[in-house]
Amino acid sequence: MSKLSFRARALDAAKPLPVYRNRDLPDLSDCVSINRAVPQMPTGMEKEEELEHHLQRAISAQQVFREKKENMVIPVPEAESNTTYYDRLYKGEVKVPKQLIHIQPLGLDLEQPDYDMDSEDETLLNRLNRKMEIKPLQFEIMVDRLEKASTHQVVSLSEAKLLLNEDDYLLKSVYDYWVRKRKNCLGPSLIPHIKQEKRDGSTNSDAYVAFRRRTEKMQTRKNRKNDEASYEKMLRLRREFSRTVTILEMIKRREKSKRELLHLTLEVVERRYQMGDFSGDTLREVSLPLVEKPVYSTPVTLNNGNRHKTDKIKMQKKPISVRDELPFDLIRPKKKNIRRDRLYPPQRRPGRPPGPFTVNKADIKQYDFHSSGEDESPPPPLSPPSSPDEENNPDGVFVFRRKAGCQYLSPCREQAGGDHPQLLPQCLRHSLAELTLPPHWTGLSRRRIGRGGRIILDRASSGLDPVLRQMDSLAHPVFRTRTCLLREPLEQNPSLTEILNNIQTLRRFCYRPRPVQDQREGCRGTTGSSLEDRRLTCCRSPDTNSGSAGGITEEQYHSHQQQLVQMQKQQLEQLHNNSASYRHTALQRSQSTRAGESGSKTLDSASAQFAASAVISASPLPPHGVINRENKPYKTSINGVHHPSGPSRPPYSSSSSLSRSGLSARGSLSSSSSSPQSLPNQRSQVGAVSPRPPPHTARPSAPPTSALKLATVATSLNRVPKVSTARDANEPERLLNGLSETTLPMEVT
Amino acid sequence: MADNSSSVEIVEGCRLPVLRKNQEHEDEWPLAEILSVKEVSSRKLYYVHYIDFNKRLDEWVTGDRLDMKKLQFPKKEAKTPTKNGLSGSRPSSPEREVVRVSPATPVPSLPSSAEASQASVFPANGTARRLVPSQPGRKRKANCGGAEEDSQDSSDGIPTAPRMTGSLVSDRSHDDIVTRMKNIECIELGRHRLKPWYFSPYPQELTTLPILYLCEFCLKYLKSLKCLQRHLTKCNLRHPPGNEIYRKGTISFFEIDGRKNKMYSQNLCLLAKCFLDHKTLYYDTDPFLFYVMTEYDSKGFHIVGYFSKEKESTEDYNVACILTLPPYQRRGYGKLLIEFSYELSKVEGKTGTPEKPLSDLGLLSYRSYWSQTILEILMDLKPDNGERPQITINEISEITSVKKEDVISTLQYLNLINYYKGQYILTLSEDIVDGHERAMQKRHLRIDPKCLHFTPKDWSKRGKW
Repeated sequence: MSKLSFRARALDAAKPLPVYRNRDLPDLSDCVSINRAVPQMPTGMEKEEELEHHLQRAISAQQVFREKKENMVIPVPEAESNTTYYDRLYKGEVKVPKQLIHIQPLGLDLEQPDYDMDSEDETLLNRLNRKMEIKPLQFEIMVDRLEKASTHQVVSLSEAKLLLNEDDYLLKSVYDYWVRKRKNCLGPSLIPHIKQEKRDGSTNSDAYVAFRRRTEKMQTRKNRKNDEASYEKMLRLRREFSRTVTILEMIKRREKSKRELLHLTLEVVERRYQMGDFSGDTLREVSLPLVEKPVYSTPVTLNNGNRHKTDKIKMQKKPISVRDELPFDLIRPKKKNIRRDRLYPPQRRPGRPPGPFTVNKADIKQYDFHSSGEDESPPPPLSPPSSPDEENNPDGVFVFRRKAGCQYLSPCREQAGGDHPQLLPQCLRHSLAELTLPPHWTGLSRRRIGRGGRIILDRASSGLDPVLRQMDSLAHPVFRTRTCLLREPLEQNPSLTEILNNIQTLRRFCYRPRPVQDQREGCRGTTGSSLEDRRLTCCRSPDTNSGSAGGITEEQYHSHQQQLVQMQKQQLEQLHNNSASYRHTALQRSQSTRAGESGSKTLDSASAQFAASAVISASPLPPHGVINRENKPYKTSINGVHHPSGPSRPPYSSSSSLSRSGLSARGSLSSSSSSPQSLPNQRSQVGAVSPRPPPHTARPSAPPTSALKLATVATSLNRVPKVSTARDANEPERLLNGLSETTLPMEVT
Repeated sequence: MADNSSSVEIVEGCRLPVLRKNQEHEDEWPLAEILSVKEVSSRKLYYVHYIDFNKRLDEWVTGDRLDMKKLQFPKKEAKTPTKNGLSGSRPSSPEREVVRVSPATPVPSLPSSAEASQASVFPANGTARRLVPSQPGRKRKANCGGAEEDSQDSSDGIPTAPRMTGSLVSDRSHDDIVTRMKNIECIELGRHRLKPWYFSPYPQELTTLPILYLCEFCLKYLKSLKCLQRHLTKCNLRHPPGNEIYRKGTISFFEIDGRKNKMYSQNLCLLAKCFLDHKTLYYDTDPFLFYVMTEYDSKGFHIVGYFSKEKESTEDYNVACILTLPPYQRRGYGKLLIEFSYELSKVEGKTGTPEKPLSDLGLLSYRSYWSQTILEILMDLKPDNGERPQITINEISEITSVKKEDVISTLQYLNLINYYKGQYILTLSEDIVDGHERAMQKRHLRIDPKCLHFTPKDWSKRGKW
């Protein structure tokens, strides 16, 4: 072997190699040794195995003979190919299709049990077959299900019963057999499986564990991006599923309500039948006041679904009272049209005057699962939100825009009600007026005809206010004593009207619009009740003279609560007895309604009086036009100015209520919580207190859970929620109202 | 021979000559290592590995086949045979210095020396070889400089998960006593009874069975004939559960996606593992496609062999594992499988190479295929313009889809490449030409590219395999 005297050039794969036959190159033998200069390529085998005897022998044989030699091949363990029973085992013949076989994706998964019966099972089956018929496949399915339901522990018999829908005897025998067999089984399952990896890594070197998942996939950046996208999709999916759950929950609730409604209707019909109310008169009488039922504005909150949080707040901020034809179509035209059609007519009952509706925006919205994306913002507010923290567009379509070249002066507070007569047409002027009927309200006001022919008195403040207030306070001692009187007999004597009438004749009230509040006051109003806002700001609190906001102690308050509850019960009894006169009933209804729905403690005598007077004064109007400002759970002012303390507040806490009543007693700062910045001009303030047609609760059961939830929130904000009382009081009323309520169809489209 | 196991305790790791029959049915006494001892009905059985023979010939023998007189006890300092990391001569790093088999002087019983066991090319009579080679179970490192970079063995003793690409292991650090021993005695597959060659991770409870039954078409493993019978009432498959992409005569190829048809892929891998030593089933089958070759008869499409292929190979592999089932071996099916794999590569417009390490049979088959394919081209070259025909290695590679390195190694192996008068030339000797012509006459089975209906998918464009 001669050493090379030169270094052979590297073999260039791109360089043409001439092909010679050996016979053409007689001097080739000289070059043979040079062959070694060509770098040897590896064989690609494991070194150890490369040296194995039989391989080397085969390689050398091949190099010698250029051909395979029978006795030089690598020996392998033998294989036999003479299974005698093959034809019996694999039955039938298969024809070759002309086309290439193309397998259908998913076509393979026939629901066949993985378990295959063995001869032991066959014995059992033969035994069982003496008593009943059981097919091998049926047996296999049973065992298969049992196996797949068991992990380390076998399923219990009771679980097995759920799994297998079989005859008891059969089930028992198969189950027992299976348990026994599984105990004796060597493997972990009767269906042999490849050992699976364990996540803890303990099986990393277990030779019997195979086909581990590739956890850290060979990923390129592209794939990672892909994963991100799919992760987001999964999130979205999860969200949508949870939304579905919510919807289904609400459907459930709706159906329950429907059932309840049905039962109540049934009950009513029965009662009517019993009392012989075939003409429907009694029903009409009874159902009339129901129209006044205030909207329970607490929105149903979704207890799962991630929109919950943000939307809850938003919904609270902008509830809207939507009456029959109120064009909220403006904002979301398409869907609403359809929905509204569904909202109303079918539930309307014969024999009941079609009452006006208030559809709470929140109510609508919660069924309005229009989208799922986070990117989608809730629809624009229907009514201008008024809370001070809504910076951007507090007034919605009614937003105040400065006009170019126009000078704006701040409103004159002193002369609040004194619009310059010369500037206003006659009909817009306020004038000093007094209600002729008790309780003889006196104040600057202007009369208008509202919707449905209701008479609306727009109040205004004026320089006369102090005088009027004085009148108020002058009358007060009487009032106070009366109230004290009122309380005691109330417990024994249910004849409320009598007492009220007494009071009414004695009282003269001043009414005027809610004055503009300072920020602090506004805040308080926002956090607390809305009821006070709705009330006329007449000074009528029994505690005015006591001179302090804390005039009512906690005990007094509680006793008052009890009284109210009792009062309601009595009223309800009366209602059931159907003995009271229409007006009487109406009065009571209005009281109880308010008390029940808006928090019982708010039923103080003054409001009761006013309610009564309102009924009286409104009597010539269409029955559903009963003035009901007290009962409105929130106020939607005429000019769209919306008060922050709004509708979606939970029932009020006693403390805030007390303090407010104290405030209102002081008179100068009545408890309204109108936000000053949302009042573009004086007139709007005036209009803000104008009574609105009675809103109507669209749904019989304002969701108590959500109310409670909100109440808890309120508690955490140092307020004592009175939800439970309110609810208790609410309950019987709700039953009564049930029939008059129009259940909102919760169509989920 | 007398049962002398009672006199001397034979333990794992002992070495001694063991009687076996060679292919000519002559007795021979190759040295063997005892890997395991068991007692079946009060009779001791020894699992022996014949040194320098492939593991597939390992077997359980009775005591009377052991030559106790030459018994060697395991060396004290020797590590347990349960751990051995071997680094092979895989060409994964091209710069790597290759230690070529050189005529070796036998170095008796020096197991730590890597070169000790190197076999020379022996004369055809294998019985002449009686040296004491190194213990194959020993962990060793090739003591050549560049080897370490490739070494994936866990010399620090911490078992690491194997790499996630490919289907073969070269790292034998997980090669413990369990996987060194065959665990299935016999497999019945259709008409055939196969004796497995290597360990396969079938469920452990099935390894004690004398025969493991497989459904011929879905390859499901069953513990008894009764179970198989029952299974066949429910299994409607009469061909591999994939799309037929080639058919000529009775030969068909089916393509199976390892992700879409996990059950079949896993069953196929389990079966294949019985005959492929280096195959790993550590990870799932998702990144592989399986090409199953079948032969049709009236009972259905019977599996003959298969090869698997990574959907995306970073190393130009066009075959991961390749196997002709033993009953069909040495009848040209292996070459047909290889040919088919290169036909697929031709459609893809790529060159390819089988994943390493190759087995002995794999090496022989591939070399044979490469030789025939290249010689076919070289012999067909016609002189153009009266000049000597010439061809570049790249051209050969492009025509055949055989990777350049494999072309070169084949040319070298066939001794075709020579350095002559300052340039490399290819020379065809008479015996090569004659041998090739004889071989080609015997090669009836060929792939007909016209019968192939295959459109390669671009798996890189998909999120997952």
